Amino acid sequence: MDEQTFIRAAQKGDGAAFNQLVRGYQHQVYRTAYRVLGDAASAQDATQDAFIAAYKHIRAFRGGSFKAWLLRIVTNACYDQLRVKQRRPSASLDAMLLDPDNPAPGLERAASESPQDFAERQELGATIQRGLAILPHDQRMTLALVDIEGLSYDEAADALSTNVGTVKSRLSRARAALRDFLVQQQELLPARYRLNSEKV
Amino acid sequence: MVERNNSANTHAGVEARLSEYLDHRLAAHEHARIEQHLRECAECRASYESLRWTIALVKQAPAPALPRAFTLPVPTVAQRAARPSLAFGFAQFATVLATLLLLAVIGVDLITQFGGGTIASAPSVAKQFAAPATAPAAPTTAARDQAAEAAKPAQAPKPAEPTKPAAPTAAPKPTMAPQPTAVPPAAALPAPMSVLPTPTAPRTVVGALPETTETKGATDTTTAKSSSATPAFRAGLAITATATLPAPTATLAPTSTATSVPPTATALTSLTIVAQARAEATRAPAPTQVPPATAQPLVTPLRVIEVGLLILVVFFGATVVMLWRRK
Repeated sequence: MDEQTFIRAAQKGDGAAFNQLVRGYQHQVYRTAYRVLGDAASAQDATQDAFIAAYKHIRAFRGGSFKAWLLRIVTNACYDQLRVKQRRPSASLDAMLLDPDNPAPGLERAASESPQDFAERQELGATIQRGLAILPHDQRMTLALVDIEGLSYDEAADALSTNVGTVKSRLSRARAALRDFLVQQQELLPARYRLNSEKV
Repeated sequence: MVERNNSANTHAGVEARLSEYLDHRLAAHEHARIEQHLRECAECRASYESLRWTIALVKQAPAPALPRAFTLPVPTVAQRAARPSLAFGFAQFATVLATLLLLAVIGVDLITQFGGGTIASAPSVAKQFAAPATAPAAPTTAARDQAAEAAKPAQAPKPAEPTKPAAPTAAPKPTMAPQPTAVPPAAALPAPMSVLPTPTAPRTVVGALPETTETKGATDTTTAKSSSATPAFRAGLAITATATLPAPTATLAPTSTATSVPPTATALTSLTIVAQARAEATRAPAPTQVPPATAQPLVTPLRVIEVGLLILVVFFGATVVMLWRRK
C-alpha cells in the first residue's frame, strides 16, 4: 500500500494505518526536532506530541505534501518545547552538546563506517549542533528543514507557514551565520572536515 | 570611489544571493551574472566556497539514532468500528426495549388490578385467605331472591334479579356462572326442584342447616358460629359467609339484606332458603369447579416479569453508561 492509502485509512480512524505512517516518518521527525531543540529528551517529547497531534487532526489533511504537513506540526511542537525551555531554564543536554568533551549521544553509525570515522563524524555532529544552537529559532528551523531534511523551498514554506521569500532570506542568513561559526571552529574539526580539505 | 562603492554593492549583492545560487533557485540571467562575478572576484569566490563547505558539512552530520518507536497505541479500524460501537448500540437498543416492555407490563398489571376489578385491595385478599369463597355469590343472591319470594308466596318465582345491582361492583362472571343451576325457576326447571328440598318443608331444611355447615367444614367458621345466634343474625351471617369475597361490595349487600329481614317466620324461611342454596351449592359440581375470581396470588406471573424486566433495564443501562464512559 502506498502513502495515500495509509492516509485515507488513517483518516477513517485506522490506527494501524496511521502507525505505518509513523514508522515511515519517525526518523525524519525526530531528527528535525533534535536539530532544532538540541537535546534528546525535548526532541522525544516534541516528536511524540507531534504524532499525537497529527493523529488527532489527520482528518484536516486536505492533500498535498504529507511530509510538509507533518513537519509543520513538528515545528509547532518544537516551538512549544522552546517556550517551555525558556520559561523553565535548566541544565539541559544543550550544555552537554556545547561541551567538546561530551559529544552528542545516540548518533547513527553507518554500517561501513570505521570506529575512527564514526568518532570523527560525532565530533562534526557536535560542532554543527553547537553552531545551530547560536542561530535564532526560525533560522535554525529553516536550515534544518532545507539543508538537513532536504525540503524544497516551497515545502519548507509550507511547513513553516510562511512564504518562499521568507524561507530564502532566513536560509541565507542561517547559512552565513553557521559558516562564520564553523570557520572559527574548524581547528576543532577533524582534518578531513576542514575547509581546505579535499574530502569535503 | 564610485568604482569601490559599485564593487562593494556587487559583493554584497552576490553574497546575499550565494545561497540561492547554490540551490539553483535564481533566474538564468541572474545565475549567469553571479557565475561571471565569481570567476572574476577571488573574495566572493572564497565566500562561495566556504558556504558550499558549510552546507556539505551540515549534510554530512550524523543523524541522531531513534531512541524508541513513536507508534501510538491507537485501535485499528476493526476494533473501533466493530467492538465498542456494536456493543454500545446493542446495549442502547436492549435498554430501550426492556424499558418499553417493563412499562407495558406495568400498564397491563395496573389495568388488571384497578380496571378489571378482580382485586380491589389487600384486605379483601386477606379476607379470602381467612374464609375462602368456596361457594360463589350466585347461590347467595339466589337465596336472597328466594327469601323474598318466600315472603311473598303469592307471587310467581322470577329469575334472580338482585344479582344485577351487585354485578357492577362484585366479580361478575364467577357470580353469574352458577346462576342457571343455583336459581332454577320452579316452572322452568322442575328437575332440580325435585332434587332440592322445597321451601314448603321448613323443618327438614332447618335441620339441614347444620349439615351444610358441617359439609363446609372448618372453612365456613362464621356459619358454624352462627348456630347459636338469632335466626336473622344467623341468616345474615350465613349469607355473609357464603357471599363474602368476590368483592368488598358483595359483603355489604347481603348484610343489608339480612338487616332488612325481620326476625320472624320470614327470617326462618329465608334461612331455609339459604340452606337450600348452600345444599345445592355443595351438590352442584359447577360452582365448586369454577375457580374463585378473586383468589389471585400475591406473586403473579406479571410481577415476576416486571422484576425480570427491571433487572434487565438496570443491567443494560449500566452497560450503556460503562461503554459511554470508555468512549
